[in-house]
Amino acid sequence: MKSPSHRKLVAGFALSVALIVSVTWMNMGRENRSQDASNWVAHTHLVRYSISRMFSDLQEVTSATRGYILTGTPVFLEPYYAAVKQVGNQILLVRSLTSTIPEQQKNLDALEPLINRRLELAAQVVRVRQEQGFEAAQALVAGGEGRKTMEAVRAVIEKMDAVEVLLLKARGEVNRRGEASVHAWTVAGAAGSLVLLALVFALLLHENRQRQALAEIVESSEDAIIGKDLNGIITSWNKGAEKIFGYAAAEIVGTSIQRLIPSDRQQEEHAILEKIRGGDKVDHFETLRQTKAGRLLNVSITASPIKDAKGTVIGASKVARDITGKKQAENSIAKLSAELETIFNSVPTMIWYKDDKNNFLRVNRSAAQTMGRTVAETEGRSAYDLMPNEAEHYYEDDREVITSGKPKLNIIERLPTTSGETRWVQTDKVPCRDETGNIIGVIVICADITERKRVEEKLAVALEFHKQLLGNAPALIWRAGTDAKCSWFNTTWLEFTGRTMEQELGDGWVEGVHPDDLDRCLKIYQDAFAARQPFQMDYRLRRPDGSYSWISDSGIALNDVSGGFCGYIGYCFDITERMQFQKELSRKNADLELFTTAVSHDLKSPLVTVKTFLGYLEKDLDDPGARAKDLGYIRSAADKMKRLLDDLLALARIGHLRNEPVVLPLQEVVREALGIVAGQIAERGVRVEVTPEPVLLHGNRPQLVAVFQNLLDNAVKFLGDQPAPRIEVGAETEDGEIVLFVRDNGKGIDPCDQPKIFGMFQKLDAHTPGSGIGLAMVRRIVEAHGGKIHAQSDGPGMGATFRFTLEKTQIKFP
Amino acid sequence: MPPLDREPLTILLVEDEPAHAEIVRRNLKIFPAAHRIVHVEDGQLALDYLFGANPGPPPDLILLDLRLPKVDGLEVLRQIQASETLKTIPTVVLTTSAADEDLATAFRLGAMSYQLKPVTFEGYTELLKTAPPPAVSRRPLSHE
Repeated sequence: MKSPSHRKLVAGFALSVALIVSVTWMNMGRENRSQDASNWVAHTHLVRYSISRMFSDLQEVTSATRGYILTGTPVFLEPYYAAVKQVGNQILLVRSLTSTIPEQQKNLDALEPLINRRLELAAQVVRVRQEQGFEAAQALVAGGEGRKTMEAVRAVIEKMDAVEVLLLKARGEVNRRGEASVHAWTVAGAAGSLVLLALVFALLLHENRQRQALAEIVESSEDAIIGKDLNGIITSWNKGAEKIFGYAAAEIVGTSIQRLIPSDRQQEEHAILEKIRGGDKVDHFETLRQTKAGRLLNVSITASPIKDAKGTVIGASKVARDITGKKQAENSIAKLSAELETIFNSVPTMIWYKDDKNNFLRVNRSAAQTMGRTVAETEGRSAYDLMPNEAEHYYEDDREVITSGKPKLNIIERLPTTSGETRWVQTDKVPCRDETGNIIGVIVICADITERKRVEEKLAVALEFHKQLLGNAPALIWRAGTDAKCSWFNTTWLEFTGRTMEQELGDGWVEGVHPDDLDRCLKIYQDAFAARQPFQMDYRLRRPDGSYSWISDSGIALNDVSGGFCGYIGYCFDITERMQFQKELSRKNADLELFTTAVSHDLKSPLVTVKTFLGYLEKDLDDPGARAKDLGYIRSAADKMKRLLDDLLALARIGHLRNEPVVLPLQEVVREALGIVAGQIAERGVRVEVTPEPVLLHGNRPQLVAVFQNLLDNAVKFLGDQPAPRIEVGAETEDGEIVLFVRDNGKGIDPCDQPKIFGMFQKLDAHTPGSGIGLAMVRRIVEAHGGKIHAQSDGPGMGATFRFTLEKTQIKFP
Repeated sequence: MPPLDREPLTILLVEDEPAHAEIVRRNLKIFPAAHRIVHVEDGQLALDYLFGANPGPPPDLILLDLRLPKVDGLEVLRQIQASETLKTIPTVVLTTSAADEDLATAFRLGAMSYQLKPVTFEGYTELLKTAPPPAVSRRPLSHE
């Protein structure tokens, strides 16, 4: 190929030669017309020019050689050959021009071998470059012989020029006038030639620099840049080639390129060469090549034809790039992409991408299946088409994510399906960004939580059920956390205490516990908590009216589903009634015990008397006085037994008789009782006063009569030596309760006897008749009627008052 | 010395049942010695006799019913045993039943023995054996 600079070079060179020839010719023409002297001056100038021309030609040889060394391009050999030829011509010219000057001939003799040597060196370098490559040629140049030879040439030429200058001086004196015009012509021609030559030189230099730059690029390229001829013989080999294929330039230049081609691809080279021969280029042809070590490489090859000056294809430059890495990367990307696609479509999680307009860009299989569609049916479609009811709601979240750039997580929402069934999903939305970071849509990751939701709903129903169950259970139920603070009370509890949940929570419930039970209960509660043991405790709990009820509280540690301690639950039952029954029972037991004693002792005692005195009677039958006495003891004992049995029977009857309760005035009951004890009353002359108030008693008639009968009887027995005995029966209101009383002015009760008086068989006085059952019976009847009884006395001689209550007693005014 | 012909004793009988007191009295008459019987009808009277402002002559033997008005027999026994001078006097509990729970309490409190009512001849023989000879120099009881 011919570059413009190459044309300029040839043109400039031709012009300068033409100029020189024309000037020479002109000078020769003038020689005929001017004197010899002036001819000689001209001649001398010509000689000088020829000498310098000879030198510059020699320099041209050197520079052409250098160009060739650097590029290896045969183009440079053309000026080289031209310059070599020119140098030879110039030597001949100078020798002929100076044939008359022996000194110059002598100098030429010295010069010629030097020039020849220099040319020889140049030829050698060219050869080495061709045969051994750049480095070898470069090394040869670096040897410095060329430069030294050149210096020697220059010295000789300067000597010759000096000779000519001296000649010129001598001839110039002769020729000065006549030669003025000739001289001017010569100078002008020489100057013009020199200018032209300088231009050519500058062009050459420029071109040379470009070539050097090009060479450097070629050399430093990572790509392999290989020159080859049309036979496939490698002509140049850069560092990149060396690096990629492993061959040094020296070992491969001059051999066939087929060394680089795997055997099964040899035909490729034929095709490439075919194209090159046709002047065509091969662009980015990806194939496999083989390294020196035999490794196969993925390479991309670009081959371009190289043409000579006439445009004939003489070879090819081939650029090969190692794309193994790129190929591997491409393979990895393809593999990764396939893997991702597989994962994308096989994960049970639903995933899709949407743009910022609510359109589905990509949808994975799981998502499509859940929606009841295929992937193809969903991708590229708008949410407004696929799920018109929910689309806007979804889009709101999308916009939020797109606007804020922040993910929105754990959105619980519905996902409609084509079957009409709605699935519950938990959705995470994260912004989807392009390579530059701009948010272009949302990535949606979605888990089907329908089953979980169903379970949760069932659980909620179950929870509500259990809450209601516990809330309205007949037991008082509480819950406490791991910190022993109460966290819940059921409705039954709250109704029982009349307090609000807020009041009872934490330690609030403690306020309702009876102060006497509090410390004991807290200790049981806290100890049990610390040991996580079940506990049971009875205590009094305040009711809304301020009274206390006994409850039995059983607590047990609770574990959560994972088995961890999560607090306590407790159940309480109202045991007030049970406590009363227990109290009643223990009293009855005590009574029973006394009864046993009575049977074994109080009944046995008169029996012993009877039996013993019957024995005495047998002996005393003849003694009327003793006999009467014995019989008296026997009778007395029998009476005692009868009384005792009667009383026991009466006592037993209280528990057995099931007479219908009646309402009757106090006065009627007292009148009946007085009828029974009238004898004792009259005997002792007691004045009995009964209140006229309209008090109505409610209960078992015979039992109520028995109460007053026994109290009156007891009062009469203990009147002592009171001269004006008086018994008062009445009723009064105390703390809103009607209290009945029987008061006497007798000898009163010794404080030490107070606790015993209501016990069975407790006789306080040996001389007072009675079985000791009366007051025990009174208490029993009063209690059976829901009342209480107690005796008051300020001490011996101060009289006694028995005060008692009976359930449902009322004062009714007409 | 056989009980039947021992010197007469002073016996304190604490018994609220007149018939039972009569039985004791009649049975002791069988023995030749003229034993002196001091009969009180309740616990308080017994304590008055032993510890009162004007105590009676100290008994050689106390026959004590447990079920007494005013102050019961066990309390009387407790007070006797609390007294250094009186606790040496043998106290025999009279009862109608050997199963009486109070008997055990009586023994704990220092009763010497018990006799089931009615006390038999052998019972009285046994009783009189247990009593030590009367103290010749026994002074009347007094609060010290």
